[in-house]
Parts: sequence; C-alpha cells; structure tokens
Amino acid sequence: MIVQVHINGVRGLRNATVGSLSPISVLVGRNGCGKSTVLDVLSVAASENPTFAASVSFARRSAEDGVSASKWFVHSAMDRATIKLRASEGSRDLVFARKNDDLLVQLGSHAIGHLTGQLAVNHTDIGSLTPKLVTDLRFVDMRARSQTRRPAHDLYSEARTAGRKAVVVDLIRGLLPDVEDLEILTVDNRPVLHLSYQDRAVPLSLSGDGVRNIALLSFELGVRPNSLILVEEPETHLHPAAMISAAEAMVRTVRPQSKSENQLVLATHSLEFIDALVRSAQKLGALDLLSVHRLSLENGELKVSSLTGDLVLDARADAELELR
Amino acid sequence: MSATQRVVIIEGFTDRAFVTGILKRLGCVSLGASGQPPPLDPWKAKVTGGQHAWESSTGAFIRVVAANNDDLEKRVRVFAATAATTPTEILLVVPDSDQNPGDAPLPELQRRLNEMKKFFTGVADVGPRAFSSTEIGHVAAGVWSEQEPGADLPATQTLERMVSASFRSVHPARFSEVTNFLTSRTAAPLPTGKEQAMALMAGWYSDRYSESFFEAVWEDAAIATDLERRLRATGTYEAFERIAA
Repeated sequence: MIVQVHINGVRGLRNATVGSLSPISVLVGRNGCGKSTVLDVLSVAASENPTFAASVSFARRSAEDGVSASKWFVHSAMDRATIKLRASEGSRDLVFARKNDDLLVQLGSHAIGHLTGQLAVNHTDIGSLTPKLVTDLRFVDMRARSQTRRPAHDLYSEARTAGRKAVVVDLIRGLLPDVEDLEILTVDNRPVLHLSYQDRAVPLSLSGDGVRNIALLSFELGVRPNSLILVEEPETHLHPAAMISAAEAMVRTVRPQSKSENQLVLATHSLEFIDALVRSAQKLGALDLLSVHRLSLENGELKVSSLTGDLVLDARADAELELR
Repeated sequence: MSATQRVVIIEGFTDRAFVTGILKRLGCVSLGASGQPPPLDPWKAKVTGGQHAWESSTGAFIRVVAANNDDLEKRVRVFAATAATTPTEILLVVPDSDQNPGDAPLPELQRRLNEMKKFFTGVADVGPRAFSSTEIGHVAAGVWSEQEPGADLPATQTLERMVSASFRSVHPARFSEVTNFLTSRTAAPLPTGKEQAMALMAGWYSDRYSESFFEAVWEDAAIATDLERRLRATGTYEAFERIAA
C-alpha cells in the first residue's frame, strides 16, 4: 500500500508531501490546489513503467495544448522534478530532468526513459531494478468522454478472463439492482457490452451517463485485486443515492476481508460523496481505512491537513466542518 | 496575507447565545442573518451545523462552535488537525466548570487544557491557561463558574449558576420572588440549574425564548457589568477580549 508521496517540482508543486495515505484516501481542496497532480504523480511513480505512464498522464491532460511533456511535467521555475514514493512494500525515488523539449527519467541513478516532445521514445519496465509496489494500477477519470475511455467490453473481458466476473457483477448489482447479468453481444458484427435485465438486454452505451459511470467504476473496482485505483471526481453524473452505493462499493473493495483489497485514492469536490464514504465506512466497521487530505497551495508549497479514521467522522459529524 | 480564523468552542446553544452577548458587547458584528444563506468563512466555505460566524472589530473572522454537549476536546482535536489548511490564530475553549460551589475551578481547567496539549506539537505555555503551538498560535481556556455560596443557586458551577448569581446580586427582589415560586410548587421536582436560570426569564425577554435569554442578559447594563466582573475573576473575559480585538 502506498503510504506517502513527496513531490518536488512537478507541475505547480514546488514542494509537497502527502502522507498518512490509507486504503481509501480522499483528496479535497479548491481548484488548482494540486489534487489532479498528486493523482498523476501516483500514477507515474507507482507504475512499472514510469516514463510511459508520464506520457499517458500527459496525453490525458494536455496533449491538445501543443506543449512538450517536459514543459508540462516539470515546474516552470525548475529544471528537474523528483518524486519519492513510500509504500509498505518498499520505496522508490524518481528524477525527471528537463532538457529543452526532452524529459529524461531516472530511477535512482538508473536512466529508465526519455520523452521527446509529446512522445515516450524510450521507456523500460523497472521490475528488475526495484520491488513492485502495486499489482495493478488503474486511473479512472469519471469526467472523461466515453470515446477516450477503454471500451466497456474490453474492461469486462479483462475481468472475465481474470476470473473476476462474479465480483464485477456483484458490484454492478449493488449499484444497479435490476441488472441480472452482463453479456457481450454483437451489434453489426461489433462486440457490445449489454446489461441484461429479466426480459431484455440493453447496450451499456445506450444508458445515461450516470449508469455508464457506475458500470465503469464497477469494472475498475473489480477487475483485479490488490490494485491501486486512482479516481478523478467519482461523483460525476451520479445522483446522491448512487453516490451512496458507489461509496459503499468502494469501501467493500478495500476491506482486508474483501476479494479485492484495493487501495483507492480519490479527488473530489463533493461533500455528499465524502459523507457517503464516511457513512459506508462506519456502517461496514471500516472507518480506520478512510482518510481525508485537504490540500491548499501557496506559492508552490502544498499545505496538507490529513484526517484519518474517527477524526474524519469527528470533523464531519460532530464539528460539521466543510471539508472540501 | 493568508486567511486565518479565530475559534471559540463552547458546550451548547445556551452557551452560544451567551457568547453572542459577549461578542456584541465587545463590538463584533454577526455575519449571519435570518432569512439569508449561511455566512461564508474566509475560505468561502459555508458556516453551518450549529456554528456562528462573526467579524471582530479589526475585521478578523471568528467562528463560534457549539459542541452540542459532546466533548469539547474532540472539536479541539479537529481544529488542530485542520490548521495547516485553515489556519487558526486563536482557539478559545470555554466549558462549564461543573464543580461543586466550594471548589476552585481553575486547577481543573488547567488540567483539561494540559490534556488538550497532546493534539498539538511545539507546545509552550504563554500565560495562565494558555499555550502556543506549531498548529495554532494561541490556545486558551476560559470557564463558566461561580464559587459564591448559596443554596438558592444551581448546585454545580455552570453558566446557569453564574447568571443566576448575577441576578441575585443585581436584582435581589426579583431573584427572591423567582426562588420562592420554584420552591413553593407542590409535587414539583427539585429545580435543575437550567430551570432555575430559565425561571428568571419569566416576563423578561421571554418573547425571544430561552436561548436568546442568555444573550439578552447582556442588554441589562447592571447585569452586564456584574457578569464582566465575574468573568474577569477567571481571566475568561480577557480571553474573549483577545478574540474580539
């Protein structure tokens, strides 16, 4: 499990430490405070191929702006960025040096990759150099347009192949109780994931944004155990009742007794979603698995207030603090 | 300059009303208004959930938190833990003493304040019942207490006992009539401290209900002067002056 990340010179963060990360860590704070950067950093640093992961983050965020990955990744007043990641399985130090439009990536003293302009021209897995920190790493941007996501039938096939169908269907049915099963049927000879109800099957793509997001979340939560799952704005398109179901599904998948035992890091603006997580964690006796990290950025210095376990409950239920 | 706040933590809504009277007396202005959306703190977050928002005479933001009879220490812990992102320059905690009338309230108050130090780092005492810390510049404790003897006053040292003692001192005839009424009732339970204090409200600010009564006592000039004297005896009024400055 990732427990702490120290960031120096990545994007707007000159200096930042986010610690006390738990099985479900919620990042909150105003626009521009660095929540998404922390998610990007985790997706890069926990990856087995940090250079390629950096190019994916770059493509997700800024590809259309025409800037180079090196300008996008490294703080404008600095020529290199460092990330120190601490996990229960070990730690790793990464350096990203900017050289004109190139970004040179190192793990400790080992050169491990090279991005030129917007592309990763040279990237290697680091498995032989350092212990693996997470079994799988998934980035879920609930705001993303469906065209930019992996197709639903792909995700479902991955789960099915990995023997995780029952877990995924359970999660889907927890969120959409009328769904009986999932099936990949063909439409014009193309594979299309369908939600199967008692008397019909409906393509997931014909469902509303909320249902699609719930399904997407279920796949990501269930597809592989022991994953680090990074979720951007999980509340997107969700009715408050669906938020409660989604929060409960999340808490269920991080519990040690679950078949998934994932670690989740979420960035949210939704107090309703935070409260849903607190309520679910309390209901499932898992309050100690939850932490809320309020971020505030001042001149590149990240200030962090970390609340863990019952302190989150005290802050919301007793003090009724507006934690966002 | 970064936004900051000053925080007052008290036990309940009666205490909050009493604090309203003190802050008004010290020239603070309420940021909340009936029929309006909740006021905002300096970080543009709504101030809700039993909290009141004020502006001090110099423009500082003051948050008054009623713990709703839950333990105050839990609230102190939350404000200590969130100080990195919502800086708090002064934190004032004011519990009821809850001791017997003969007992001095300040040693017990100091003990409670010492217990709260565990939520902070870099703690250094800066005066009687006050310390500085890395998280919050000035943490202090005041107390609602009244040691004055009297079987006609509430049995334990609380806000109600202090207000009742003030009435007895300033309006003895009225106090005596209310006491006689309370003790003359047949088949009535022994009056509680809250009942004794509330009974003083009869025909006096009663249109503003019980909570506002504790605010309204500050509108009687003689009682206000007397209450201020009693609060100064424990350093509590001075602690509010620091909040309101």
